[in-house]
Amino acid sequence: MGDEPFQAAWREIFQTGIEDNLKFTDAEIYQLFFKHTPTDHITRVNRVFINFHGGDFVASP
Amino acid sequence: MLTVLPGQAKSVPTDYQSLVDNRFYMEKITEPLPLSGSVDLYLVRFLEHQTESATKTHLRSAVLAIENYMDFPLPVKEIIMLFSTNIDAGGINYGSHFTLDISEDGSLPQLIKGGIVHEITHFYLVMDTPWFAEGTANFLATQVGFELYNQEVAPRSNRSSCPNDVINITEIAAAYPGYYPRTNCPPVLLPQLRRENH
Repeated sequence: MGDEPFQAAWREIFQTGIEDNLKFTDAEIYQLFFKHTPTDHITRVNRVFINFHGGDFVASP
Repeated sequence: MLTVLPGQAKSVPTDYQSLVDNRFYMEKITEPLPLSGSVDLYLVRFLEHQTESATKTHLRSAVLAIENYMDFPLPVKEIIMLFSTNIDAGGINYGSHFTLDISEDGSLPQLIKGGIVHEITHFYLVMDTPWFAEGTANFLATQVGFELYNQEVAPRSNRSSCPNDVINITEIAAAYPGYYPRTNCPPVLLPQLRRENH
């Protein structure tokens, strides 16, 4: 993702979670990272999730 | 210290007894942070320790660096850090306080630098699964380590839980039957996510 998109996703995850007292699911974490991923790197970032998390969330709602 | 007693009473009875008997050393710092306002920092030990001032300096720098990276206030107004010598893990965050084990580590500065940030990160509870909690804690410890000291710190869980000779979850599952990377090998996903595109 790169430093800036990663940090933007990181901040949104924690700020939203803390302020709204949320507990995210794996799919929601995935979606938040993808929200900040540059369009032309979606496939590569999804590959990282498949490799190191074991979940393919592309088809998830 | 009354808030510390419940966690220590159950896990480390000797520490609990020392707290009850008022046999401990404690430093308190009130640190003004840009976003969080005043945050009280407590260092509690059961033995005198020569590196007290270095730990305190690091703790003050660490909370500022954490707040800056998060870009919003710390979720707690006080941080109680208790150095124990008899806990199973390298460090444990109990919600009311956290402990760090100094009984085994031969490189105290590394443990302090990595362990403190790791445990403070656990106060930011936004997901219950271990892979995310431990992964984010290790990630932020590494990030702050580079920011403050321009060196990599290696939290204990990062060194001991994750096999180093495999690079993805398929290989991990094949090489280590029964090993569940999402819970036991948490740190790899987040650094890989950030590196992608470099």
